[in-house]
Amino acid sequence: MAEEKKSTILLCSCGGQLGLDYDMLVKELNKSKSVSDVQLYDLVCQENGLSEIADILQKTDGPLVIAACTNQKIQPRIDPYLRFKNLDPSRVMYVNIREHCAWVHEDVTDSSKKALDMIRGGLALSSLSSPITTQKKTIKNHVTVIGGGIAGIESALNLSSFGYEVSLIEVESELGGHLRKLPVIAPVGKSGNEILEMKLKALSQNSLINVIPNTKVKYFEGEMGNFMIHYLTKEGNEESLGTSAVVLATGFQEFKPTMIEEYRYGKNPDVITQLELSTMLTEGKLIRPSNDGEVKSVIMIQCVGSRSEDYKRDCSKLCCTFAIDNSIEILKHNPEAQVRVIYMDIRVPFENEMVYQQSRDLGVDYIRGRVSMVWENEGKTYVKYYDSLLNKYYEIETDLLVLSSAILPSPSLSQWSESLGYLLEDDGHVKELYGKLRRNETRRRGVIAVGAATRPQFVRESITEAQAGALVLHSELQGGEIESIQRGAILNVDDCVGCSLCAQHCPRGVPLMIEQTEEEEEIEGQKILFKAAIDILNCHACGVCQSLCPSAAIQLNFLTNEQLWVQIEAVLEDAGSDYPLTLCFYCEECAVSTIDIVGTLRRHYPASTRLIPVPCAGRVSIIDILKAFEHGASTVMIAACETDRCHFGGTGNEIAQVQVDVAREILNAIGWDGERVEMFRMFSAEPDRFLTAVNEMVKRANELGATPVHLGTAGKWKEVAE
Amino acid sequence: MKTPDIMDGMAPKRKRMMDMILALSGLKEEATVPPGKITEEIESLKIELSPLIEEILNFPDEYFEAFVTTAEKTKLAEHIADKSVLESSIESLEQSSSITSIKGIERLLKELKVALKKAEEESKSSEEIKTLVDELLEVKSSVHSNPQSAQALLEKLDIKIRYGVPPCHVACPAGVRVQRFVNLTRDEQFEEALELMRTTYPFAGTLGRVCNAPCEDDCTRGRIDQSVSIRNLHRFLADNERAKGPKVPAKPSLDKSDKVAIIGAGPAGIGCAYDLARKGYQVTIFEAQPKSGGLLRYGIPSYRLPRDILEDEITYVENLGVEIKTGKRISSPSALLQEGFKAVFVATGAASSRAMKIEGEDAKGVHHALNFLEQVNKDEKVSLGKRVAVIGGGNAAVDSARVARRLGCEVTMIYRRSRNEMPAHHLEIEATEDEGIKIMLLSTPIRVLESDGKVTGLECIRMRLGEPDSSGRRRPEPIPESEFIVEVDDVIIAIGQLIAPEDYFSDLDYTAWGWINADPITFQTNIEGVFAGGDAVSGPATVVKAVGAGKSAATAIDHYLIGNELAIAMEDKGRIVANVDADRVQTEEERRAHMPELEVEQREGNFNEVELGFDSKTASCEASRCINCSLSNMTVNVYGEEIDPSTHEKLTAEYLNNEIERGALITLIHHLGAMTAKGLAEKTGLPQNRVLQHLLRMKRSELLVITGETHGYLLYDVPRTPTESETTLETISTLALQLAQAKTNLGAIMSDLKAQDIGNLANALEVFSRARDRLQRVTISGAIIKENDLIAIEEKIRSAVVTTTRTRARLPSTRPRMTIEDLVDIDVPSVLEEYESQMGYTPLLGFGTINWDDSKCLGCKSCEIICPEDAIKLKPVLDTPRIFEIDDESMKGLPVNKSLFYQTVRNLSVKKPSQKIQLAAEAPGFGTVETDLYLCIGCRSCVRRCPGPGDGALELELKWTLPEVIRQITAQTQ
Repeated sequence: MAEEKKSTILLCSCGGQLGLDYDMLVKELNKSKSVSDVQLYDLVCQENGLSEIADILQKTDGPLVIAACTNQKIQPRIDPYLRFKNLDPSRVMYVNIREHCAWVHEDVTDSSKKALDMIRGGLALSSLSSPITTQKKTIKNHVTVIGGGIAGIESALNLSSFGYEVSLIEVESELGGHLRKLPVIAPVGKSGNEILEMKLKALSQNSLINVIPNTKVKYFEGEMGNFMIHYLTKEGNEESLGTSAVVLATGFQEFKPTMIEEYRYGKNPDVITQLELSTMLTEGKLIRPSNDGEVKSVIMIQCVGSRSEDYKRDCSKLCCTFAIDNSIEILKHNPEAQVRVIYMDIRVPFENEMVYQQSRDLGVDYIRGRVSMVWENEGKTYVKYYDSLLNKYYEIETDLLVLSSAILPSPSLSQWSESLGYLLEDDGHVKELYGKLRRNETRRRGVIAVGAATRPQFVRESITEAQAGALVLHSELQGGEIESIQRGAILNVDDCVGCSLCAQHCPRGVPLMIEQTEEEEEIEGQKILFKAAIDILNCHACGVCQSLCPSAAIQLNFLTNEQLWVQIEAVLEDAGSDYPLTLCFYCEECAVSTIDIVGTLRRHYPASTRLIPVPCAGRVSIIDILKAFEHGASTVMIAACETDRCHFGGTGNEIAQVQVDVAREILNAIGWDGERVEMFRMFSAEPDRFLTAVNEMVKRANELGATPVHLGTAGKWKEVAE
Repeated sequence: MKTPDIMDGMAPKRKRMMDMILALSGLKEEATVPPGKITEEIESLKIELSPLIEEILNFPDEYFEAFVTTAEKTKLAEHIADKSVLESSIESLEQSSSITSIKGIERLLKELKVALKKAEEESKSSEEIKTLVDELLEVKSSVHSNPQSAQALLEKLDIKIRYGVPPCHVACPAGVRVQRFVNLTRDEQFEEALELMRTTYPFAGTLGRVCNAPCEDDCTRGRIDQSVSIRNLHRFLADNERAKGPKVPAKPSLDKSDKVAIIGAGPAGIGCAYDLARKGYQVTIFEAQPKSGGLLRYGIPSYRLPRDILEDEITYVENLGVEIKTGKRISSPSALLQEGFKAVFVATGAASSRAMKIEGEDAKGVHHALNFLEQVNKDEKVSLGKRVAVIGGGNAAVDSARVARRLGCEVTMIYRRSRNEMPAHHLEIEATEDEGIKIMLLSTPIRVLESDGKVTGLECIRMRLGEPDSSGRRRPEPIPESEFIVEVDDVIIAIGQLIAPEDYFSDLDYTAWGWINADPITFQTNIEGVFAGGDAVSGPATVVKAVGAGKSAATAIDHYLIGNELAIAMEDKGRIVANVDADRVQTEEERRAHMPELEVEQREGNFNEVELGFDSKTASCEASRCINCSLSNMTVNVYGEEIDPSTHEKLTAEYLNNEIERGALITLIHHLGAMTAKGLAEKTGLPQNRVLQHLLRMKRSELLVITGETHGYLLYDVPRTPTESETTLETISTLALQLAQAKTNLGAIMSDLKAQDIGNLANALEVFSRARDRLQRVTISGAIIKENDLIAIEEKIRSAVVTTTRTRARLPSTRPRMTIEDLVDIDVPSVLEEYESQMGYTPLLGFGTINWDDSKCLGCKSCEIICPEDAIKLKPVLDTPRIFEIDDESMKGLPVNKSLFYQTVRNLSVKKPSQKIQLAAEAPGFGTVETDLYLCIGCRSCVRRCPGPGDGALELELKWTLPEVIRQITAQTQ
């Protein structure tokens, strides 16, 4: 532990409008042994205040505790100022005595008392703080693209344009993917092969791109800047490849509707899927597979497996356009052919609409309805359908029945997600980091997904995504030198026991479990020993790992266990049965915004509350909760983001929920009341939700009365008869 | 070999183990083949292949020979438009012939080389491209030093940019910063807008009414729908301020000792005085008329320019410290110099009307426009008869006609050309007709008819338009014998203006046309220190031109008085004019705002102002129609705050860079066709990622797509679809290379076939097979070459491939084999190793029971994760009573936080729990381990993985070992 340095305290009166008992605060705080100086200032956030802060940091070598308004407002002013002055902003701790204190309580004595306790907390925290530094890392200028369809090819070309060496891995022997099978692509009207040809040429002339065909990727190791890809070659040899980042461009696969029995796919050779028809048309022939006969009539059925409760719930987006393209292509082969499309809704976006119009002009017949039955008689195929516009059933003979089958993600995605650490949507597509603002990025830094790996995509969308993805990756890889963030989790690998809880639950997949070398294995006998390894570049400092680590091997550099515990102890100094306190841990994402808004609105709640910030609710472990009770809290609450809205891209709030749930069960079991701890969720601007929550917990604190700690019965379990 | 029959009916777990053992021992693979058998297989393969090989080897020669013959006949090479196709084909073919000779290839090569040479001669030479790139670079470097040449280059290259001075600003003779004041108006910063205009001139209200607005003619918005109504916006700003009371300017300190005299208080004189006063000079204007304003007051009727507006604006200038002495006629500019003025500006204008010089012009009832207007504007009585003819089509003519109409006359305008050539502003002409004035076009009077010295009519003649004259307007020619009479009571002649006779100075030089002879750039006259400008120098022009001349003269006078060399100081450096591609600018379809006007019926008999002005909402709306075709407004950010000049400089420089670089890329794509980012980077010398960023941006704005569409490219690196000939040639040359290689390989292998070569043999034959398939799709003019031969050889190649593959399948691999019997005494550790390397996890040992010690469990689920058989699970059950039973020794052994947790629970406990807790959901870090012994294969993975203290929380109690299992299986086999 760092040598304790005395802290300076800067109290801000916010232009004299907070009305706290500053004389008392200064007097009381000056009593603390860990305080070197207490200063009162009118407006810390103004130019004079900032230079005062800089001045203090220059003159002292200890931490500075600023008790002022919310750090959400003031820190963004102070941090850049200090960096500009070449001072370390991590030496400053913030205590919010405005929105969390002065503005929300009526009684000056009460709110001053609360302010004092919270400043003591900040002081305790700061007394154990240590400076934080930035790190840089040089990595290899190499990216691997998995999947040689159009998205993969475009990714490779773009990345090479940024100067990266690219390995393009394809499972088939030829590049091109589905594009090879498409006879025509709306709205450009070119065939897939035409579009591909030039891309492939560019690829073959590009010395930075190495194409590895006939190769099946098995699994991955490592982190951004140092991934290792393990794959099987055509010959069945297992080989591996080191790379700095991975682009998932695995494309899609068409649903084979054998299980939808009414369509007779797989039983009647004249029932084929849309992509099978595309392949046939690309090869330049149009025949009935059953007898190589001429095709005079075709029926297409849309939404086979898509928009269905039984198979795939959502729309597959591409199938309408595929069907229309193919209809027109059929009419090119045989202008006399009769093409009927049986649909629920025709969904063709953008200029594809023109192609739809064209098909109507060419005489493709669109029938709104569903097919109920397909059967064969004397080598002919019959279809029975319901026309919902005419409200009639029809039976009709057809030469070819084409099923516009659902578009599914590649199954490899789920296989690799385990070793590569990205998340999947329920439907198997890659889950993007944040649907609105961070498309193409995955949970795992250095892994991006483009093209149909994220959702069904048209060719040009795949191209655009590939380009966007290349830019995203380029901004991450920086051409080879990447920078870490200041705040993060620090691993003391000697203390790591290798349980992998951190690796399992890190919302960003940062800790990786590394199997230890053989020498160590010898010592441990037959043990398989893993140790965690941290890529600090990817750490977003939520603290989930810390709250789960059984051996305290991994801790946030700005909020160690000891720091939080001394803070808990300090803020609860006044706690007792005569003054029941509610301790609230709040996350510095949604919860802090909401609590600040309560303050800004001057809404009131009882002053018998003490607030402690944590970067993410997931930082709060069961021990932290129990420590709060040990130090006299009457009730404990955690304020966190809503379900599925963890801002760290994962499940920080769910980990917190587990701690609360288990704590409740244990409290109940050991003679306490589990009601004393509770978890509350809120969006970032729901003052009423926080007020309801905090009032409830204060009410419980009063109603449930003195805790066993107050009563002195805690720990006396041996004396109680079972 | 089939798996043993005993596998059927075996318990699933046993079956899986059996499967593993068989896989491990290689028993699932084909039986070993003795070496003799291998030789036998190879020999029989040779025999089977021999009748086929020769034909296969010869097939490329036959094909290519036929191909080249057809290609020559159809002049294939000449149809290749894409030079790169020729280049790459030549490269492939040359490689091919370096490997082995195929008949016809050399001939094809020769053809292609000729074609390439021809193409190179025809295409833009690389020298020209280099010039192009150099020119673009020159634009960048010369933007500041030589803007004129930069502009010329940009125009030559047809590059549109938003950098530069807005065209409206360039068009304004007075130099009003139009775009900026329009933007300020848009943002409802009306005062700031007016102040900005006052940095140019004080006449917002005046010119906002009478200006002919050349700015609007050049407005880029006008190329989309209609130009921004700039003039009316001027006027609005002035009106807006007037509504609040007159504005008194801060008086500049007239700190210069030099005094300047100006002769004439018209727009040129006042414009000049305004600038000089603001520069600190003491200025005196001498005006012969009783009031100031010149033609603004005595020429323009008050229904267009209410006098209070004019007066207020002149007063504003006077408030700056300019002295205007009215009623004071100057006879000699030189005399003023002697009186102590250091410089004199002559701006006396062209205040008299030109005569028609036709018979009867002296008759009573013939008026000259300027005299007529002056009389009216001085409120002097003018008696006109009922019918009035106005001769001419300029502003003075229109004004005279409308004034006469207001005096109650029936007015006819007579103009000798067509409406298009009328010099008056088209809106004025429309207003004229609205008010009921007839316009008689293509007619001219040749005689004034009189009776008793009083006008009775005009004899006119019809005209037609001939060739354009020096003014660019078509010259009117009389039509012989088309004379006609118009009966009128009065005639107003408005066919041109001259300097008034009383305004001539004996000491000044005049041109042959009667205008003052002054330098057009320095404004100097023949007398040093005397400058002249405005209509008296240029001839009758517009008000705004006069103001502009006055302003420029002020600059010249300033330079002169400071002592700068005038010719150098006044040199025009030129500037870049922004020129955006108006077709590409996105705007809402909005016509310009309508100017509310006095109803026509209410105009008659009075001189009330006709145009009523915008309100503030209309003004800011109208201003928002400006598309900001130039970047000049970027000194103000979106919040209306000034941008720091250095930032602005950086921004515009970056913008210019981007625009020119993108222009260069597009131009290159135009000329050279599709290129990759890399190619473009090489050509332009820009970094490759910058090129890509430009391309992405241009693609987003669709600029590139449009360029591409026009020139046959879809996207930047998806060039146009190759023609049939191009595809054919590319395919052929690639295949030639592949076949050359395969031919060599095949020949070498077959000369001495060995077992280990069989893979290569199969590959070489595959190449032939694939090449043949592709050749069958190659066409020249739609026809397949040697189609029958291709079909004939297909069967042979296929049969060779199949035979070879079959033989390969029959040959053994090198793996050692084991029998089941061998397995019984197997060396367990070596099997473990091999199995792990094959399967990825430690192999089976047998069956057993897993024991779990909860006091050592960390709840980490590692066992569950590592178990290959899903046999072990962490259940969400908390054995709370056990927390109280952990002994101190075990407690010490636990990881620090785990023991702290248990300790804290104990410290808080009031009672010891009696029951386990069933949690609702999985809880990482907590739980109870359960094993499914039916699934466990005793591999000990979980035991070895458990990170719990000591040996871990798990222990395997082994029941059967591998040899025992095998023994069991063997027993069943027998």
